[in-house]
Amino acid sequence: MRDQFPILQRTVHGGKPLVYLDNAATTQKPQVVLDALMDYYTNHNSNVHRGAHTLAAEATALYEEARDRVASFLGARSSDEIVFTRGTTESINLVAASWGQQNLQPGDVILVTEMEHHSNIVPWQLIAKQTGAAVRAVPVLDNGELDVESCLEMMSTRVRLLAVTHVSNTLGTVNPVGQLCAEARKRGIVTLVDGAQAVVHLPVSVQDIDCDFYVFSGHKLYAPTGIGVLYGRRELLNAMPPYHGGGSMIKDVSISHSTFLDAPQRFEAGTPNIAGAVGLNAAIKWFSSLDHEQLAHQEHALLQQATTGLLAIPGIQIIGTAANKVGIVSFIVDGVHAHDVGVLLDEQGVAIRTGHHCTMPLLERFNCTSTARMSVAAYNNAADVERFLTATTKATSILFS
Amino acid sequence: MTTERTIEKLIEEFNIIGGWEDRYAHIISMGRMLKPYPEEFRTEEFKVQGCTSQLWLYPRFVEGKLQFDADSDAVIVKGLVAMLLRIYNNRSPKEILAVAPDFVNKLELNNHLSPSRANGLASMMRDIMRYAVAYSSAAEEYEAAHAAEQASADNTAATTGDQSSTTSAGQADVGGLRDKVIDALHTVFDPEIPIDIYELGLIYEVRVSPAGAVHILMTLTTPNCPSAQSLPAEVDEVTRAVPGVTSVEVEITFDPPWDRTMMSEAALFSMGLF
Repeated sequence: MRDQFPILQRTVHGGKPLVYLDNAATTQKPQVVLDALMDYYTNHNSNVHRGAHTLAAEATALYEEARDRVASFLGARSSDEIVFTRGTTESINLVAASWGQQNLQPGDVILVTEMEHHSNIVPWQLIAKQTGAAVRAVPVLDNGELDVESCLEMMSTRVRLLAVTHVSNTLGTVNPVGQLCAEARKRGIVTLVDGAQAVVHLPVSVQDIDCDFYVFSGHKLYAPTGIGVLYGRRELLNAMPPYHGGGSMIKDVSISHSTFLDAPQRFEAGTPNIAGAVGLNAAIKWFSSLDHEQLAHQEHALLQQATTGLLAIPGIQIIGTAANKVGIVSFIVDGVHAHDVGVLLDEQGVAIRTGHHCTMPLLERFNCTSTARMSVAAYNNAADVERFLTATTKATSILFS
Repeated sequence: MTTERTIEKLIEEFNIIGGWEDRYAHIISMGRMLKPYPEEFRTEEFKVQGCTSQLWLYPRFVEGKLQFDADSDAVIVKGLVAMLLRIYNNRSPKEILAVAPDFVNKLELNNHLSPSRANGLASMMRDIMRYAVAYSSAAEEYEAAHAAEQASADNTAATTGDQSSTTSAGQADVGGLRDKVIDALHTVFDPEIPIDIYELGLIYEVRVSPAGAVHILMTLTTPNCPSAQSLPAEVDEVTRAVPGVTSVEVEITFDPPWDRTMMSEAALFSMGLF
């Protein structure tokens, strides 16, 4: 596995082997994905959905093959329900701007949760400001689980949309999105699930979850940056106005008026990130070929090892102890800024994330301004976690001396 | 000790330290030697932007020199800023701006600092430089006044402002006199904001006639700012003192009203708003 990732072979800080545990920020790319990018630009590069020539047809076929791959990966009914975007953030902004502008009115409520990434809060604030709607947040319990009871209570008649993350990027908590979406549906509430962290850790079926929108980024799933996905139920997408105007999304244009194609083209104005889609296709193909039972087992073991190991280091507290968690562990060291921990780990070749992880409301709820976060991917092993724990022990001993 | 000598000494210190652990222990211990940071300045205004942890830097202008207080909630960042202050603290703006920033590369090349730490220094140094630029004309004024005090009375204010920045404002330049007036305006400070009124954007227009008559159109930060009432008189005074100026007229307007977008980049930077 590890030799499929060229970057994992490199060293940092004068020859120290790299231990990469910042996978919730972005994953490294396997050789097959790098090869797919190179092959696309070497052999097939052309613009899609236009032109009669061979390369145009090949590029279009590759781009649409990627869409088909994503549709089956997410268990969508049709490839028409898959819109390519730049990433999770753009997907959410698209829904907020397009669906929100059309459907929100003064007094309406958009329900988010305290554990959302800023990208699942700020777009809603922007559209709320424009439409007179309000944004409310479902609280999080002390162990980092969503307060489901409160969530159900907060689903009042004024709530038009529930935007909830499948997995918390900061805490690793897995939310019961199927249950929440079912409850929302009963009340006529539209649902958007942020799958940025989930797709790489859990099997996802949008039909099982029964959400209206599901969004994720390619780069957290071993694919290149700059390619992301918006899944939307076909009837919803086709009822929504365009987000960006331009080429490739129109039926007919005159100077006074234009008519638009159905989804997904309606939402893909301009030349798309074709190479990104090709890379995403390769990444999903590679990821799907792995033994997921074994992967889940390995991830659970690494999570256990990290949790137990961290708790054995004096002065360390883990934030987020939900029963159902993926391989993400946030922790704080008594009286120490997470940045200091991150710096001293980096010095030992261990890459983790420190900061607020774009979840300032969540950290405020836990009375901190930053945490250190380690997050595992398919290529991490027990030796990585061991080096992380040794490095953390060393860091705390320097900081406490 | 000169800035050059301080830098040499710093590099010597790191040279005798062995492993990376001791290097960080040294950096952290420098942070512990900083004076307690004045709580009243632990504000957004004095926060250094671009750091993952919080870092505050507060400048005082004392007798022609800049003195800094600093603090961070991260001990390594605090140590790094303390290291910089060993070089930059209690120096004149001129001395600060004369430090060749390649000492960071020297530390990095000798493996005393990793590239990511060296990057972190950049935003701190940027703010120190900005303060130095903002206080440059005040320092020159101080030096000139000091020199004038020491020398005899015929040594007048003519020494002011040969290298101060001429910012924006695209009117015609009448024989360099207008530049001298603007240099003088750089020495007037808003009583509530540690930035000169020209950088703040309070001066809307400076007109100079060939005969040396100066007309200044200016505003105040708010119409009812009581402490700002003294500003027009101060502007009149400093302008009148510029050699070659024959008469001064200061006109106050609130159209358009002043807002933060009128501040120069240097002012925005030094207030941490950029």
